[in-house]
Amino acid sequence: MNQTPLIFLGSFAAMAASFWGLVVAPQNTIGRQQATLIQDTGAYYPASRTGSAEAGAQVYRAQGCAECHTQQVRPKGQGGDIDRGWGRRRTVAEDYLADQPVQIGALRLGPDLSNIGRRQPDATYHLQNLYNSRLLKPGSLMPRYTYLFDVRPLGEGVKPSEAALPAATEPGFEVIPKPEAIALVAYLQSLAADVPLFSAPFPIAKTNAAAVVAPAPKQ
Amino acid sequence: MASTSQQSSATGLSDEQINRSCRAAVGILLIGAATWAVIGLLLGLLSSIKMHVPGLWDLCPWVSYGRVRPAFFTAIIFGFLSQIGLASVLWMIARLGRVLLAMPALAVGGAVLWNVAVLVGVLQIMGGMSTGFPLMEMPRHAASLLLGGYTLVALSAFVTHRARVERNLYISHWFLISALFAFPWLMSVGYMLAVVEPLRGVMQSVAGAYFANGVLHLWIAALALGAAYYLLPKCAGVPTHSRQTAAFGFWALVICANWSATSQLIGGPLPRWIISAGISAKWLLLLSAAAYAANYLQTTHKAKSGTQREPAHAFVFFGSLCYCIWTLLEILGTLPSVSPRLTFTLYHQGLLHLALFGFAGMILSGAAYHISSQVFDASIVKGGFIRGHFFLGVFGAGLIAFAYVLGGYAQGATYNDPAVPMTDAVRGVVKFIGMASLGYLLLLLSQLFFLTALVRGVLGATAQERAAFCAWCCGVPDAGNKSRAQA
Amino acid sequence: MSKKKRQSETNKPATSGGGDTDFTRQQGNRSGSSEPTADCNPIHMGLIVLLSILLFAADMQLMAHRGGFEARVYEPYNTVEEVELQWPIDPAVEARRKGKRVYDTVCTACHQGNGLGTAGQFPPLAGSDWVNEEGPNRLINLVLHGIQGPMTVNGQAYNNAMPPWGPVLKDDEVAAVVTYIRSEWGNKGSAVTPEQVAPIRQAGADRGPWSADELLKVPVK
Repeated sequence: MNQTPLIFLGSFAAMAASFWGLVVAPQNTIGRQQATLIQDTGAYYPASRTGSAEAGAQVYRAQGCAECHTQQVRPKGQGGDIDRGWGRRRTVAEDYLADQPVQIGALRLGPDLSNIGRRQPDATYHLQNLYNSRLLKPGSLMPRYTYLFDVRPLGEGVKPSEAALPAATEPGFEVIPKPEAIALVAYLQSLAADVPLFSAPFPIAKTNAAAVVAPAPKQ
Repeated sequence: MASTSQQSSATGLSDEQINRSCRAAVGILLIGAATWAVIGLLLGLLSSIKMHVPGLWDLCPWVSYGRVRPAFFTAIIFGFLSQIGLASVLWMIARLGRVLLAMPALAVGGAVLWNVAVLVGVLQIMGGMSTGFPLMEMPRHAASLLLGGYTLVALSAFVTHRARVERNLYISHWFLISALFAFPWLMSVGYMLAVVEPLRGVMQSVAGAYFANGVLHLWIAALALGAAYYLLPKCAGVPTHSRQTAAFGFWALVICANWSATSQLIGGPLPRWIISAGISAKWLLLLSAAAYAANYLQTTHKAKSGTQREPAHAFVFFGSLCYCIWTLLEILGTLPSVSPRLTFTLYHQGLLHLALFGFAGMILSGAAYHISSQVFDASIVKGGFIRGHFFLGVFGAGLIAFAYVLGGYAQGATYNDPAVPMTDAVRGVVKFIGMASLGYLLLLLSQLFFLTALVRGVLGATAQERAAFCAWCCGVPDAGNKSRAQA
Repeated sequence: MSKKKRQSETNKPATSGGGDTDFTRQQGNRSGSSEPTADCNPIHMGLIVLLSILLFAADMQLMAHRGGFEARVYEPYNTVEEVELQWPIDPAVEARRKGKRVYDTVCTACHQGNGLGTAGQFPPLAGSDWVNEEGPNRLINLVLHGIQGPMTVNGQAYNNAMPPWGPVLKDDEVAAVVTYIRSEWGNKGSAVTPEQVAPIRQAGADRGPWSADELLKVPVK
């Protein structure tokens, strides 16, 4: 008996079934979600990224930041993410509607970045962190992204340019971020997943009632 | 010297003839695999060192950690393991079917195209063009080349299979053929839905996880199991104990591995049911490992004592052990009592290394030695190289897996403890990462042994062909042939 | 040359022992070659037991953590209702839900889910003159003590018995169901609070079911 067609049919059936169950069925629900209208501000969440932040997402992807950083906050009972202040609530599918590509990450060798735009809104902090993380956090294992910056020695009596990082970053040199670094920082500043959504209320119920930007719960 | 056992009948082909027909394709695939193993492990060693010496070579974007790490995985999975898998497919289908390899030129073309694709992909990842999805970082154009190389090799394999004389299928056939069906499907689903025409939102990550999980279980693991079942009777000297058990394990793998994709996304931004379905399927994968272990133990239990040992037997033993341990630890990682501690730690990286180097790496290396000793020079398995490869490989893979699994478990507690600053929590893993770097070094050395043994064997066996080729190139009459003709 | 010939005939990997052992020869292969074969032996019972255990465990796991297969339910919640409980409750919505629950439990059987009743047997509630009175007192009394005998609803004559629900329903449930009836199916009656129900219940503590004539004498407000 020729079993080859049986192997083909069996494999095909298994792959078709799992494709339907894990890809098609969820696609019909979470894949068709739309951005939520925030009643108080009239803005949509998540907002699509434009300009520098959009380019920054590609810089994030190209440097492989997702190798060490995740962009997913777990619920309160399941790990210390919310206790660490990485988010006010867990992340859900709606948070990634505007991402291209979605970089949720899988390994943490550094903090989660879902809400880094809220935790660290300062651009200079991010630029210094990228240039030399150990300036800000001694003992950090983050690589130095010196190639995202132009580093020029400062001559006698020459003032550093306006765009340069603070002098303490590299004494005797001016460190000017390249457009990629600026875009990446704009992207990081846009990372925030703190609008309470129906599927992801704030863990403390009273906070939901008091939340200014809470949308009406779905029926 | 009875050679009738190697010759089926007056009209049948001898092993030697079948071996010879596979030479070119298998040669390119195996040497390519060994080369990519060395390159991949160089990248891996570099990435591991960069983890604990973060300022190393920071001026060069090509070797920044976030680029070198995915390049390493790509080189290992697609450059190293897949190529030995493809060589096993071609050679085992030809040998089991008792037929010459069909369309060998196509197979050779496919092998070359595959290597070109991996090279382009690895360089593009290091150049900053990665897709961003785990294990699927190869950019789309290199992936198309890969699919093209696959198509040529698969065509040769299927035509060979159709032309087979021995019509009954052996267990290896099931695994190898289902792997051949799975690969283009996985590439299509992964790339189309996450890269080319991406789905909206986190469904991209689901498609990426579908790809990564499929490549691990339905491509690499299936190829390794197919090769393992081929080598098992050779190691024991008796037929495989139970075809039915192997079938049970095969269908368990094919059905359950498909559904276990989302178990890697525990804690992730997906509705509860999607992740639970993946976890349930992952638990059922234990059946595949248990069936294989049952067959392994029952077959080797009956092993004839005093038979000459198949040189690859040690590889098959260690690889089988790692397969079972990997399956069990994967299931452990999904249990609700420990999964919050293990998610996002090096634990899962450790299991990935256990699967790639401990399980698939070892079994496929054993298969590579077996195949090359048949197709090229039997002396490949003589001497110190194979032993050196084995022991360095065992210690290297074991050390990395041990370090990452232990490190992940130990550090998971500090990761979830808000009182410990993240920087300090991560620093606590450094000693484990250092252990792993040593493991990478040992693995690199083992693969250097492998490459050396292979190259020497291939060069030795093809002395005649190379001389003829050189003579043809230079337009000089082949002195070697002339002297043989006169002898 | 002879060395090459020997190598071509022995396709086994040469080991240090040398020689021509045929450890690779297997039985049962038709073509008599050295390819691996498999025997047909039954699956070990342990694997069948393991299959049962794992199927059971996997099923239990999935059923316990399936979140109703709802796309809106994420860990750690199990049902959409659990998620809804996290959100501030709109009192009007909650009251209607409660009233509907009571209605579905005790009233639907006779008055139907659409409030139209059964012609000739049970009077309708939708658009009923009894329901749409200015004040709810008659309706509260009716629900608490029941009614029997002939009555006219929307010009139609009915002669049936409705049991008293006062012993079964608490004040807030009575208030909820009367509010529901008075606001559902196009009815435009006012809402009712439990504070309105309590004195009426007390006033008629020991009485039996009403008759239509008696009830019509009760002031509406």
